[in-house]
Amino acid sequence: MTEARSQLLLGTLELLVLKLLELGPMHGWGLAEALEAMTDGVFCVNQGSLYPALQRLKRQGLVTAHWRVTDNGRRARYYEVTAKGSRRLADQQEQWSRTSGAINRVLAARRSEA
Amino acid sequence: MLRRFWAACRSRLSALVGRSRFEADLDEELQFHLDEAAAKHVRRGLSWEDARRAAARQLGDVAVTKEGVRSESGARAFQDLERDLGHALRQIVRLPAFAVTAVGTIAICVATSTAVFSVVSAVLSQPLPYPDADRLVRLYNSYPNAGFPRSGTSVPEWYDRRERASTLGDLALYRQESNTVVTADGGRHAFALRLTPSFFTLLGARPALGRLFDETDANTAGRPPVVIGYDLWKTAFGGRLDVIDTTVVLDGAEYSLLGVLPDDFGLPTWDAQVFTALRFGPRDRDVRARNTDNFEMLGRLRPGATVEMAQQEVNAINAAMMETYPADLGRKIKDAGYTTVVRPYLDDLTRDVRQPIVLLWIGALLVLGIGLSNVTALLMVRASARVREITLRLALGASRFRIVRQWLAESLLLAAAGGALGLAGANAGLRLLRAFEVYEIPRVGEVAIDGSVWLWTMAVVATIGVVAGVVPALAATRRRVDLSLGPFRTATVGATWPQRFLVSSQIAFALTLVITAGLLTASLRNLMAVDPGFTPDDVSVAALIVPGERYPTAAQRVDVMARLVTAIESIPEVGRAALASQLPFSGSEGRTALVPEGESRPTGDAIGVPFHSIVSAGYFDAMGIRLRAGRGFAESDRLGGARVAIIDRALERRHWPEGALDRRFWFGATPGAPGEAVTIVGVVDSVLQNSLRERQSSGAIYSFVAQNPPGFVRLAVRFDAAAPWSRVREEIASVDSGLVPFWTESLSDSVNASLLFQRGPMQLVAVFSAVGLLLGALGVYGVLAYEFASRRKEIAIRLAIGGSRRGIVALLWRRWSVLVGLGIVGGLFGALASARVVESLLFETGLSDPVVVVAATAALTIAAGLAAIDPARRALAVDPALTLRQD
Repeated sequence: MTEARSQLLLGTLELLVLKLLELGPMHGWGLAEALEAMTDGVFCVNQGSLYPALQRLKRQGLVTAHWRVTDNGRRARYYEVTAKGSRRLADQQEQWSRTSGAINRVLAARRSEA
Repeated sequence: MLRRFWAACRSRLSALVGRSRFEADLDEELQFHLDEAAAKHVRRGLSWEDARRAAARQLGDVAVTKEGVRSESGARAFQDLERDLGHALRQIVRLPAFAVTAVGTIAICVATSTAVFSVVSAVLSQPLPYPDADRLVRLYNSYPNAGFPRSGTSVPEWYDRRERASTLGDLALYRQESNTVVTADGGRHAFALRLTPSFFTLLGARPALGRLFDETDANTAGRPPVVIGYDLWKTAFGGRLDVIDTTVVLDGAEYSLLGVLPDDFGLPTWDAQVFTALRFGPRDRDVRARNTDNFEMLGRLRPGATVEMAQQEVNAINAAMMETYPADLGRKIKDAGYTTVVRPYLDDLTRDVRQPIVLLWIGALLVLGIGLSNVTALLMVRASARVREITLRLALGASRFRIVRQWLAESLLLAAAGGALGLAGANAGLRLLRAFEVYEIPRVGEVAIDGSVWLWTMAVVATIGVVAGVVPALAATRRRVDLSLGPFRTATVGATWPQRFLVSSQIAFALTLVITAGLLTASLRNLMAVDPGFTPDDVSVAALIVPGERYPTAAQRVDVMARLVTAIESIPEVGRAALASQLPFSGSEGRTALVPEGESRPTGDAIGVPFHSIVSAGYFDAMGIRLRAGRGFAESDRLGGARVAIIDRALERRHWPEGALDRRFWFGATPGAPGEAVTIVGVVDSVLQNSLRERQSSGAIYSFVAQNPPGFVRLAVRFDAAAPWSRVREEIASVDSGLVPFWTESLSDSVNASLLFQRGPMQLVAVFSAVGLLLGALGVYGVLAYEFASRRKEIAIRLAIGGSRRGIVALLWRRWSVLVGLGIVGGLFGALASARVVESLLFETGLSDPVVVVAATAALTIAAGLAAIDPARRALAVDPALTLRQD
C-alpha cells in the first residue's frame, strides 16, 4: 500500500466518522453498521482501522468518548463530536466537495471539451 | 504551540498512567463489537457457534487492532521505555552482586568527582563576591635576589600609583591587625583591618548602618572613626540601631563608631570585624619610607587595561622613582632584584591551594577513569555472557538499535542509582569539609553543591551510563549472525581486546595513583623528620596585645612584660615562659634588612633580609633553641644602654664567616650613626621559620624586649606538666585585667598546621589510590574469571586430549602478565606525568626513589595476583569428563 493511498483512505474514514457522529453519539459497532448500511456495503469498515481512527480523533480533541448503557442494557463506549470536531468536519466537507466536484468534472469530460 | 505540546504530554501521560484502565476499556469495547456482530449473525439465522466464529473472522486479528489503537494513544514511546527499564531492572536484580559492584563503583566515582569539582568550582573558578571581581589585582613587592620573593608594599608607592598609573583605578592600602575591643560587657579580641577609604569603594561595600569612610575621615581631628563588621555589631553591641557615634575602645584608645557593614560583606581570608582608617603624614611619603613594605595593596584595573599593561606601567613608575633614591639605598634595593608584582586577586588568593586542588582534581579524574572502565568492563562481561541471546535476537530480526537501547536502559539505570548514592556521599563529605572550617583554604565556606556542580554530576552520570551501555552493546552486536553455527553456540572464546584494554588502563590509572600517594607519603615522612631547630613539644603559644595607650612609654612596656613573665612562671607547672614579637610557624614573617659594620659588598650581591624577632631573656630556653656561642640576654642589657642582639648561625655564615661575636651592624638598608650600631653578643642555632621545607634559612636576628618593647607580643610557655591555659590567663589578668591572650594553641599544632597542604592531598590521594587498587583488582578478576569461564570447554578438550594442567597455568599466566604488564608500563608513564604535577609538594623524594616505585609496583602486582587466584583455581578445577558432557 503506498503512502498517498493510505493517507487518502485514512482521511476519508475520518471524514465519514465525523459526519456520522454529527448526527448523534454512536458507539464503534454502530458506526461500522451505519457506514456499511448507508454506503450500501461499499464501505465495509475494517475494525483494525476504525478503532485506531477513533482513538486518533479522540487524541486530536475532535471527539470525546463516554461509557453509556445501550437500548438493550449493555455498556458501550459512545463517541460524540466536539465543537472543534464540527469545525474540522465543515472544513473537510467543503474541501471534499471541491475535490470531488473537480474530479467529477474531469471524469465527466467529453472529447469535444478536451 | 506550548499548549499543544502540553496537551500532547498530558495525553501521553494519562495514557501511560491509566494504562490498565485503558486496556480494560479497549477490551470491553472490542468485546461489545464482537458480541453485536455475533448477535447480527444470529438474527440472520446462524447458530450461536457459527455466529461467533463469523464475527471473529470479520473483526480480524484483535491483537493487531489493539496495537493500532495503542499506537494512536501516544503512549508508545513510554511503553517502550517502560519495557526497556523493566527488562533492565530484571537483569540487574537477577545478579545482585554485579549490581552492587557496579552501583558502588559508580557511587565512589561520582562522590569523589562531585566533591572535588565543587571545591574546584567554589575556590578556583567562581568569581569573588565583589563588583567586577575579575579586574581586582594584588600588588606586592618582590626581592628575589634577597631570597624574599613576596613582600608587602609601602605608602610612597601608593601615592606614586594613585597619581601616575592610568591602568589602575581604585587603589587601596591595608594592613591586617588584631585589636582588643572593650565594650560595656567586657573585652574581646577581634581581627582588624587598617585601610585607606578607597578599600570599601574598591570592594563595593555599602553600610548597613551609618556610613563608611571617605577621604576626609583620614585627616579630621578628634576621635578617629571606626567601622565594625556585622558579627561584632550583633555580639558586642547587641545589634542596636543607636550605636552610631558612640565610643568604642580599641586597645585602650577611644574611637567613634562611624558605621556597620552588612552581613554579606566579608573578606576571603581575614574575618576582620574592626576597620580603622589609615592616616598618613609627610614622613610616610619620604623616600626613607620606600620599600618598608608594611602594607598590602589591592587595586582595580581600569576597563580595557590588562594585567600585563598594569605590570608594565608599574615597572616604569618604579624605575622612575628609583632615580630619586639616595645612591646607596638605590643600589641595595636594585641588587635585591626589587620589582612589583601585579597579579589577579583571585589567582593570588588561591596561590597556595591551587596546586593541591588541581592535584585532587587529577586524582578524582583518575578514579573516574578507573571506575568508568571498570563498569564498562563489567557490563562487557555481561554482554559476552549474553551473546547467545543477542545473536538469536538479531537472527530473529531485532534491530541493532533496539538491542543497544535496551543495554543503554540498563547502564543508565545503574548510573542513575550510583549517581544518586554518590551525590549523597559528596554532600556528606562537603558538610564535613565545611564543619572543619579549614581556615587556610580561602573561600571554603562557599563550597556547595550548586547549579554548575549539578550539571557536572549529571554529565558524569550520563557519560558513565552511555559509555558503559553503548560500548558493550556495540561490541556484542558487531559479531555477524552466523546461523550455520547454530544460535546456541558461543560465538566468542576469551575476553575481547577492548575488555583487556580497559583492564590494563585501570591498572595503569591505579599504579599512577599508588606511586603518587607513595611519593607524597614519603615526602610527608621526610618533612616530619626535619629538625626545625627548636623543640615544639610541651610548648604552648598565644598572642597578646600590650596597648600603647595604656603603656605609652617604652619603660612602662618593659616593666609590664617583665611582670607578665614572672607572674606566668610562678605557676608550678610552668617550666619557662617567654615573650617574642614573632614566633616560628605563627604565620607572620617580619623581616628586616641589616648592614654589617665595615662591610663593603660588591654591586650585584644582594642584601639579606633576615627574620627579626624581639624576645625576652627566657625565649631560647622556652623554645629549646641551643646557644652556640656568646651569651643570652641579661639584666645588664638595659633600655637606653648599648644595643645588643643575638643572631643565628645562618646569618653568621653569611656576613661574618670568621665569627660574629662582638661584631656590630645597623638595622636598615644603609649604615646609621655609630651610636645606633647593634653589638652581637650571642649566636644560636638556626630555626625554620615558616615551613619544614625551607632548605636554607635566610638568617635571624633576635633583639631584647627590654631594649625595644613591642606592642604586640606572642607568648611561649613551656609546661613541665599538663596545666590548663586558664591558669595562665588568670595570672595575666592579675597583672592587668585588660590584657587578654588569644590565638592559644600548642606549638606542635602550629608546626603540624604548616603541613596541611602536604597532609591533605596525601591523605586524599592515598584514599584515591586504595580505591583505584581495589577497582583495578576487581577488573583483573572480572576479565580473568570471564576468560576462563568462556574457555572451560576449550580447557576441558585440551585436558581430554592429553594437555597438561601446567599448560593451562601457562595460558593463564600469559593472559595475566600481558594485562598487568601493559598496565604497569602505562602506570609508570602516568606517574612520570603526575610526579611533575606534584613536584613542588615532594620533599627529598622523587621518581628516582626506587623504594617508592618498586613498593608501589609490587603492591599493585600483588593485588592483581590475588585477583587471579580464584579464576585460576576454577580453571584448574575443570573436570573434562563433566564439562564436555554438558550442553
